[in-house]
Amino acid sequence: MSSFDFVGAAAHQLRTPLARLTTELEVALSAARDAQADQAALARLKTTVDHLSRLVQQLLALAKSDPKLGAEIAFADVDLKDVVLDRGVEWVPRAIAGDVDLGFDAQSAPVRGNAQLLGEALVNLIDNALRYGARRVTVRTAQRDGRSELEVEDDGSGVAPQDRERMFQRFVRGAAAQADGSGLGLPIVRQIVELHDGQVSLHDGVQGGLRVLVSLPACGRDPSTTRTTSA
Amino acid sequence: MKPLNVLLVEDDEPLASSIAMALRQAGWQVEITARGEQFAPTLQSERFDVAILDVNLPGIDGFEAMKRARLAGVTTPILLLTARDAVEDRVFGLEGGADDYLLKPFAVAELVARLRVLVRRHERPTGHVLEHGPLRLDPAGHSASAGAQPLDLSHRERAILELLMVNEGRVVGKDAIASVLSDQTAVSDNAVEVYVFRLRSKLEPSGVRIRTVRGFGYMLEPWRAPAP
Repeated sequence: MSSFDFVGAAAHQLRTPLARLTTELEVALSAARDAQADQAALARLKTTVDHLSRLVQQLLALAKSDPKLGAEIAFADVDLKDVVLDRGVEWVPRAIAGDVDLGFDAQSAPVRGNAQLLGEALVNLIDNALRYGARRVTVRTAQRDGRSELEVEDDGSGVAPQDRERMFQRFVRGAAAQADGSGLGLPIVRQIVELHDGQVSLHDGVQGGLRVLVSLPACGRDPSTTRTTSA
Repeated sequence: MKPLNVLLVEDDEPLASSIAMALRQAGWQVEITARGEQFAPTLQSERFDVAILDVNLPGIDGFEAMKRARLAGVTTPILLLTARDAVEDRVFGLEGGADDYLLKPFAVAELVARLRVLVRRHERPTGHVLEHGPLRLDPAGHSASAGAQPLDLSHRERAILELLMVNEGRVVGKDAIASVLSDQTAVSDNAVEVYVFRLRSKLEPSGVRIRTVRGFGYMLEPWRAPAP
């Protein structure tokens, strides 16, 4: 997708929630209504605004991780374990509020990379898992065969094998997608992972959901990098 | 309980009014200013329990305002509001003297919860009694109760409960729990699990829930009154 096409598609994505806001507000302002109807309208407005906020956040993440758009991206030694314990744990209260068991198995997994962007990839994966009906989500990091891996596994609705490649295209949404999905989560993850010379792939989860595997070149500073760690 | 005093520095007028309205609904007193220049002098001349500071302000920005306040010896807890999410900004913010930060846009409920945590942490050395639903913990008096029932907790169980109550609604790592327990001997993760297990079974009848965060630690769930 060229950046021109992208801007066009992004603007189009913003139009739908904006249209919803405009209509809702016009109706609310035009007629005398009871408090209950107002309350319901406000709840719908809140949902739409939340959707817009997330969309803007994701568009920003795409722009910030795209060198073609002039993003300046600094790399440093980063341990995926720290990214998970820093950014992933922030999602626990939200998960618990939705009665989802979000857990971690974070082992050292050093890479050369940008911690903020890797964190952005991680939160998109956790957000996806929580959005698609998971009751239990596990985030793992470990080193294996000279690679540093990050894995997010859920027991949600999963993605059929024939649909998996499509999920990485911008603005494409899965069969189980909710109305407020943007179709940007996995494209953001892939863009960030490729920027780090890594791969991202979708697999069946052990409990029927989805397992997303991010594999990055391990950073060679740690002598244990060359050793195969048992899973 | 006396109402909390909050200083809010935010130049976006609609945002400032809606934050203030939400905080007043929570029973707090709010003073609003739009300029960073007034931040340090206001905190020096009046007593506030906590301050909310927007980063992006006309004139001197939030970072500079915060730096001046800390240099002037202000110890009031500060929560930064920022639309920038670069890591450097975060580190700079926290190293520059902020106690916490929230990215815009944020949920007002989240803001209120974070402010409560900041105030509790800051007030703690004065022997403040902690409350959570039916639970009361008096760290100075070494006593705890659930409703009318006194709770028979060991010294270590009380220390864990205090840490969880101060951080209500936030995740507390096993390492953080181990560090408040280890007066002389190191405490293993397994030992932490045993203490939390015992504490949890003593709290269970009162409806207070400690959630396990697999592979990380524990969280005291925000109190929700049981359905009638």
